[in-house]
Parts: sequence; C-alpha cells; structure tokens
Amino acid sequence: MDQLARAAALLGAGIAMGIGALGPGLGEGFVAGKACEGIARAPEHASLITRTMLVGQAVSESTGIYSLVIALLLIFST
Amino acid sequence: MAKKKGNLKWVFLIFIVIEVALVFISSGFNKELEIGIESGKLVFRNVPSHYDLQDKITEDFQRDEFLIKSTRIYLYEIYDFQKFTEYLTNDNPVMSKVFSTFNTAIQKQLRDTASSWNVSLKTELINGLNKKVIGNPEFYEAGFKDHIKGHTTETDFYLSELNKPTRNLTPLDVSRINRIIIEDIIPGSILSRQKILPRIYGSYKAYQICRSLFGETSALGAFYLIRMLLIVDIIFLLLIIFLKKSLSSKPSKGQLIMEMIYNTFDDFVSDTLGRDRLTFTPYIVTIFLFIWISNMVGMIPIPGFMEPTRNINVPLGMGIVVILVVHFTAIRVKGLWGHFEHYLNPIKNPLAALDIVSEFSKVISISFRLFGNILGGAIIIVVVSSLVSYIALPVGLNLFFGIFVGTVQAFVFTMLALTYIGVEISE
Repeated sequence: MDQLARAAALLGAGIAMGIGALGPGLGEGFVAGKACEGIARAPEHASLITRTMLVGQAVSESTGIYSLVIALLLIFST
Repeated sequence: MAKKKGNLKWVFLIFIVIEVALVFISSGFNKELEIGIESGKLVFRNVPSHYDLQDKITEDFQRDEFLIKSTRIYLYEIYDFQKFTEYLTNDNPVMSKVFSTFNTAIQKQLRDTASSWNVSLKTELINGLNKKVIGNPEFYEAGFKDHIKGHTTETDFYLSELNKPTRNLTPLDVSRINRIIIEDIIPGSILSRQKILPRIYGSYKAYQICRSLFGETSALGAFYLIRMLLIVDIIFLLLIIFLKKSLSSKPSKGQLIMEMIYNTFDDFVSDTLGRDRLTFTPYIVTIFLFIWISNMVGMIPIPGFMEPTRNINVPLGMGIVVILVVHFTAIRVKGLWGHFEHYLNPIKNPLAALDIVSEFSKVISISFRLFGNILGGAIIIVVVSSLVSYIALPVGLNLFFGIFVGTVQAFVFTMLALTYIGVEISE
C-alpha cells in the first residue's frame, strides 16, 4: 500500500508539472510578442518596454511555480 | 551632528560583533526542534539534526551514511580500534548483537584494553564483523580492506546494511556495492575530505573550525537558517558602515552605485504613489536590498552557504509583512472605516467576501513566487548537473538561476509591494 501511494504521488507530480507548464509558456510568449510590437512602434522606449515585459513575465510565471511546488511536495514528502 | 553620527557607527559595530558571536555559538547546535501533531496532541521534540552526511565523527572513528538505491550503508573509518570496540559493545545495539556472536575467547581478547592491536587482531575484528554475509534477515554486512589505493595501514573500511529484514544481498551485490563505494563515494567521503580539504584550509584543525562555523549541510534547518540570516544581516551592516563613513559631495564608487539604486526606486515611488509620498522609498529599497543580498549569498562558493530564501519561512514572513504594511498605510490614509467599508458592504460591491479571500491569495502568491523560483532553481541545478556528471553545465545554470533569477525575483517582489500600496492609496 505504501508502494502504491508512492507510485501515485510520483505520477501525480509528473502530471502536475506537465499540465502546469502549458499556461505560463503561452502567456509569456504572448507578452513577448506584444513587447516586440511596442518596440517596433516606438524604438526610443525600448529599455522601458523590455523592463515592463520582464516584470510581466515574472508575474505570469507564478502559476507555473505553484505547480512546481506541488510537484516537489509530492516527490519529497511521500 | 558629528557626535550623533559617531554614536550610530558604534551601534552598528556592536550589532556586528553580537551577530558574529551568535554565528560562532550556533555552530555547536546540532539538534532541531520538531513541532507537530501526533495522535491529536501537540508535540514538541528535540531530535538530532539529520542534515549532515557525517553523522558520527569522533577522534577515534568516523561514520559516513549513504543511500544507494534505498539501501542504507554505513561506512566506518577506524583510527583507534580499542575505542571502536568499546563503541560497538556499548553504544550501538545492532553492532553489539553482532559482536556477541563472536567466539568468546576472541571477544575477551578484543575487549581487553591492554591487548596489543596488531594486524592479526584487527583482521579478526574486521573479518568477524564482515562474516555475516548471506541469509541473515536482521543484518547484513559486507566489507573490504586493503583494496583502496592510498589509504593508511591504520584504517580499515567496513560497510553494513542494517534494519532491512526482507532483503538478502548476494556476493554479486556486495562486489557491486564495493565498486560503487570505491569509485563513486570514496572520492567525496570523509577519507578524501581529510586528504583534500587540509590542503585547501591548511590543516585538519582549521578545516574543523571552518566546518563548525559554516556547516556542511544539504538542506536548511532551523539553526542553519538563523545562522544564514545573521550572515546576511552582517553583510548589510558592513555595507552601511563602509559607505556611511565617507558620505560627502565627492562621492566614491560605492556611494555612486547606492545613489543610483536609490534614485531608481525614488523614480518608481514617485511614479506610482505621487511626488509627496517619497517617504516610502527607504522601505522599498530595504526590501529590495534584503532579498537581493539573500539571493546572492547563495552564489558565494563557501561550502554550506545557502540562500535564506530557500526556506519557506523567509519569503512567507516577508509577504505577510508587506501585506500588513499595505493595510496599515490604507488605514492611515483613508481612515479605519474608510478602508474596511470596502470589504464589509455587500451592497456597494457584491464581491466583498471574495475581496477578503483575495488578500490571502496575495500573500501566498507573492511569497511562493520568490520561494519557488529560488528553491526550484537550486533543485533543477542539482538534478540536471548530476545527469551530466557535473561537467560544464553547472556553470551556466548557476549563472542563470542564481544571478539572473535572483535579481529579477527581488525586483518583482519589490514592484509588487509598491503596486499594492499604490492601488490602495491613489485616488
């Protein structure tokens, strides 16, 4: 029974990280595309746009980090 | 005014001395306080800290503990055979059971403190300990001696697998474990550490002092966390002392850098909160510098240094403090009822209860972002590097995950703290 719990936890960790990596990848790519458009329109504000893009991507990454924390919890605590 | 500045410098110096003393003293602790709920009751326990690989190290023998494919292996390195025999018979219940199966004459000879420990007696002990090979359900030992290049004649190695009642190791397993130990583990174990590290540190005693100061741990328990936080604080205070000494109109390089950082955050604060609320800038700069220094401390290549933000408590504490500051600032600006009527009025905004929950989710999101990025980065570095045998890849990974992610996450935390205040205050 213990082996079954451990196997299920490892499987769950894989699924959690696998599905959880879809969202941030999509969102951050979208933000980067918009940033490219913004720079193409106004190249003199390139550094400000890049900084805003990085901050936006870091905030959008956080849901991916939540699923990473759940996966680590599953792997190392069962 | 000069006297006030002088007094402040002495206060900082006293703080540094106290913290350095605390860091030295805390190296003696190796117990952890475990708090938990067991069968419905709150339980406090003082357990020995299990984060150290060398879990027993004395003048007479040392014990390494390894885990190879869920087999726990104890590797002994013996300097003083007499003391080791006393340890076997007195302190270790499983080993004393092994010892009691010896021939009684040999037992008496081994226990006798006046007996001369020549090679034949050592051989008797080692072979006797290694003899319980196949088929014993309680304990299984296998061993090897004199097969390792470069070890002295006074030491012998002996490994055992304990407390595994259902597993029987065949001689093939034994030889495989022996080969793993010789090729993979011995280079990193106590023997090689004893040979290599004194060359770096100068002597074995110096290595022991440095090890007691910094620790050699693989996780961040309670006392090691406090020690790392004290070290971060020491760095902070040293930064302040060295830059405050020469605050003049002819700025030095360090002062220029700090003024650049301060001006950047000044611009951010005046953009978000308005020009008359620049009193928030020291608070914002402190948050940024604290998190940034904590993340950078993990890059220093002293063994045992880890970022304090690797433990969940540090980012969680910072997140709670940041959100509390947001609420108190809102109360101070808008008044007690002016702030809370937004949450308690189901008519004016129908989602009032959800707003209360979203305050908690702000705490969790801002803390877990920082914690997950730092800890997850460290775990990814260890896992990927172990796949490529630590060649070439760890440098790039450490550069990215340590410096880039550390700086970006500190920046994002600070900007979010600022934005939350700005949302509450700006009209």
